[in-house]
Amino acid sequence: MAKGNFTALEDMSEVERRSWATLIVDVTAFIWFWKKMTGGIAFTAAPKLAHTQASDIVDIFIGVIIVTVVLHAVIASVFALRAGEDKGEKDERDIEIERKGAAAGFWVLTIVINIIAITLLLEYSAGSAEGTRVEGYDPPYSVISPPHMFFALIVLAFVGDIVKNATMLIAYRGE
Amino acid sequence: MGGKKGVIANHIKRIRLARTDLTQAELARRVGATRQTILAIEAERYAPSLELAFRIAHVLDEPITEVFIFDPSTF
Repeated sequence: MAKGNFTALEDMSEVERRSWATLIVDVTAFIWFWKKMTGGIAFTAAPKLAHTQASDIVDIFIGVIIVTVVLHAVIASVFALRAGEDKGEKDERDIEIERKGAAAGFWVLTIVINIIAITLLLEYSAGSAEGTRVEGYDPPYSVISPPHMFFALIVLAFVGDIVKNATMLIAYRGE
Repeated sequence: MGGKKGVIANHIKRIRLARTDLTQAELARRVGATRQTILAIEAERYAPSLELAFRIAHVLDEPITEVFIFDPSTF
């Protein structure tokens, strides 16, 4: 046992360990998805999509769902088995930290959803939709086409979950 | 989270080691918390709820004011 040291694995609560596992899985699935959609792992605010065909998008969508669900199911199973060994209990600190993480994830989702909605409205009213280009508004990342909107929403879902788990881990480390 | 270091100090570790033979794990079990939470409270990284504070004081068999100290200068 470390004295006041929150980095050692044995000093982590089950919720903290689960947060680490979920964060690693989410980041891995996110990188996989980003690479599939953009053809690389260069993270920019205005990524160029490598796939815009509906069939490609559906394949990637199904793939990312399967990968994410399977990995989350594995984590849930492992921690459920450990809970059976009487290691799965949460106390008030775990619940408070979970709540804090959920709030952070929620705020990120809310803010980015609003940015996407406003971008979409501006693009429809004065934007660069194909065939209706109007000078005056050309966002760095257009969400007017379904593939781009799909990409933005999936990225947002990953980012929300990553922010939630990262916030929890920061809180566990004593703020 | 429950407060920053120094706002609510405590003597849990000193009392636990000097007057009882409780380990962190045993104290945690008896108050219904995890060992990690007791570790955080002893390190003053987490201020417990009033209920948990009373439970800890009860298990340590000390008045709560002996176990937890609020420093008004930090208020």
